[in-house]
Amino acid sequence: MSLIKLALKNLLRKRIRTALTVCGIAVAVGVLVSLKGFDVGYQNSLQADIDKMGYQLLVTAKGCPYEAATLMLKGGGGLRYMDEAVYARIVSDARIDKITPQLVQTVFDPDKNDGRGGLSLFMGIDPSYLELKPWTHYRSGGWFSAPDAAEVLLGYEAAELEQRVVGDRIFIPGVDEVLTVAGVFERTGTQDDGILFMPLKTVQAMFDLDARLTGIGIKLKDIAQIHAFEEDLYDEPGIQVVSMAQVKGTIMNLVSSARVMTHAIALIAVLVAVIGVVNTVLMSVFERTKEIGVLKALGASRWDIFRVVWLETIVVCVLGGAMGGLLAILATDLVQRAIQRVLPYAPSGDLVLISPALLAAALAGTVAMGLLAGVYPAFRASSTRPVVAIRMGE
Amino acid sequence: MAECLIRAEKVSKHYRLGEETVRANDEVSLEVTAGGFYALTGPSGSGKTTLLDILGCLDTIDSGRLTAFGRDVSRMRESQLVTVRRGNIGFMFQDFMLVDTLTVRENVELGLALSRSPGSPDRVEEIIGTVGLHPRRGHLPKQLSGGERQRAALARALVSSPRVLIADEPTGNLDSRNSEAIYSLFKELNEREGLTIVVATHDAELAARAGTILSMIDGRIVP
Ligand SMILES: Nc1ncnc2c1ncn2[C@@H]1O[C@H](COP(=O)(O)OP(=O)(O)O)[C@@H](O)[C@H]1O
Ligand SMILES: [Mg+2]
Repeated sequence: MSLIKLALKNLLRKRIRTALTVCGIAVAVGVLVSLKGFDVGYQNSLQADIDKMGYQLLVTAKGCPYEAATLMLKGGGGLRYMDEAVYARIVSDARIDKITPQLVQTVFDPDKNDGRGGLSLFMGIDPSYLELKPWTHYRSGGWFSAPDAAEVLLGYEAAELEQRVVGDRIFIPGVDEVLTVAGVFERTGTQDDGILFMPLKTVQAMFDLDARLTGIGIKLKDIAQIHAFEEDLYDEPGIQVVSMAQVKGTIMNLVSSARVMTHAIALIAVLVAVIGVVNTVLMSVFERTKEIGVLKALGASRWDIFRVVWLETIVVCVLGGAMGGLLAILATDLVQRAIQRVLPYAPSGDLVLISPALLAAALAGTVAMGLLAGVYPAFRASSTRPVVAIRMGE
Repeated sequence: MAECLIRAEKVSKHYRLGEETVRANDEVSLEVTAGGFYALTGPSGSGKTTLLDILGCLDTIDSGRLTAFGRDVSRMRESQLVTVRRGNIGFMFQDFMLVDTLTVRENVELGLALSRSPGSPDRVEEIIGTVGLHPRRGHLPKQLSGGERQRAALARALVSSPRVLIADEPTGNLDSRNSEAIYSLFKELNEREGLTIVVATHDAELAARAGTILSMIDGRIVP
């Protein structure tokens, strides 16, 4: 007859109470694991998104709010314009590996979203754009027939949304122009999938933005030169330089206040769950005072009793932890969708990444929690004086 | 002359209740010798349970001297007393006090494990057979009658082959037929195996079956 068996059977004595306590822990641990998974997943996806921009530096017009880089990443409007001459001046810098000018424009399309309307995103590019994104392939068609052709290249999702194939015509609301689809890209898993690309000159002409740009993407030969390069551009009037590392920092900052909040809530949930465990185990210790007294009369040492109660607590915590981990895995999709709704910028990859290491850490955490939560009830139980306990209720 | 297992010399146990001091045991002297069968009788509150707890090395004493199994236990703390109890003393209580989540066999196994006595599964089966519970060894306490529960408790007390059995009103919750069965078992174990027994009881008829009757009044043993 092992003490382990005794501990396990004690847990079955009040099944509902045990189950509720386990559930409390499961919820707390589940929330915590989800959040940690989000921490990892979000950063990874953000990094992946930024890597897939292809460039390390983005030159924009001065006065463009810092968050404009974020908007840019997301593909929003409200951007300021800079002169194309800037591009001409820096394009020949020897430190540059690749450089691409872009002109982003948004157009309100009243037919989008089942008639509720929505923004269509256009980007004027030249062939250098694809050089920065070597992973982009055509699904069908190919590059524009001329640098000022009235043609459009569709991102994978944009093509799906617009229901267009190569050769189809597409109407641009607002400017009342009709373009021909020159090609459709394969899915890239980036923001590019939703964009309608046009020749840079075409966008400039169509929106009356002659010799204007919204941004210049730059990839350096040697990333170590990024600071020197940025400093040299300080002299250039009318522009500002944002590194993708800064963009990442800005986005992480935007997210961090939400992170602090949710972490605080999760930690409170864990604390409440731990108090629940202590309470449950203490209650079951008090109910068993007489029995504990008898066990001591039969020869149980303080440590024997301590172990039984401690083990019970640990089992409850580990069960809860395992269930919590499972819960977090099952709820990944749900959490992901909820997060996408509230975040200022949601990258395109998996936002919640629950790794085996994370699950192992969570389980280890619940063992530690059990060890800690069990100490007091176990100590109380082991301190039971047999004579007093056995006479209880007389 | 038989070996003296437990010797109490002017042992006292007092409780303070506000202004008043209750002399639960008042300078009690007693020798428990090997093979003896002692019955403690006396009215409720006369100190029987207190004395059994002291003789069973379950409780500490306030004054006097207590020797058990060759060791002076008078000043021992509870954590030390437990090592004296193991393998030397078996306990039975009025309300059985079986672990209700465990079967008869598991309860007996637990008694063996906690006493740290060498013992095999055979010993567990044997003692369950001795108290006549073999067919019910897989049952939980709540599936047993009072008499069966007390016999299970007896098996649990004896599985570690203790030298002394201490039983506090073991038949207090039993009808006369079941009480009779318990005392028959006591008598048999005492005579056949030389088990030393100290039992507290109200019942004069049952007490009469013991070798020595000790009457208690107000915390003292009266002649
Ligand atoms: N923990 C205690 N605190 C105060 N008084 C106690 C305590 N335990 C026993 N007593 C008192 O000691 C006396 C002897 O009690 P007990 O040994 O239980 O007698 P019996 O078993 O013969 O009924 C009683 O007066 C009882 O009230
Ligand atoms: Mg009593």
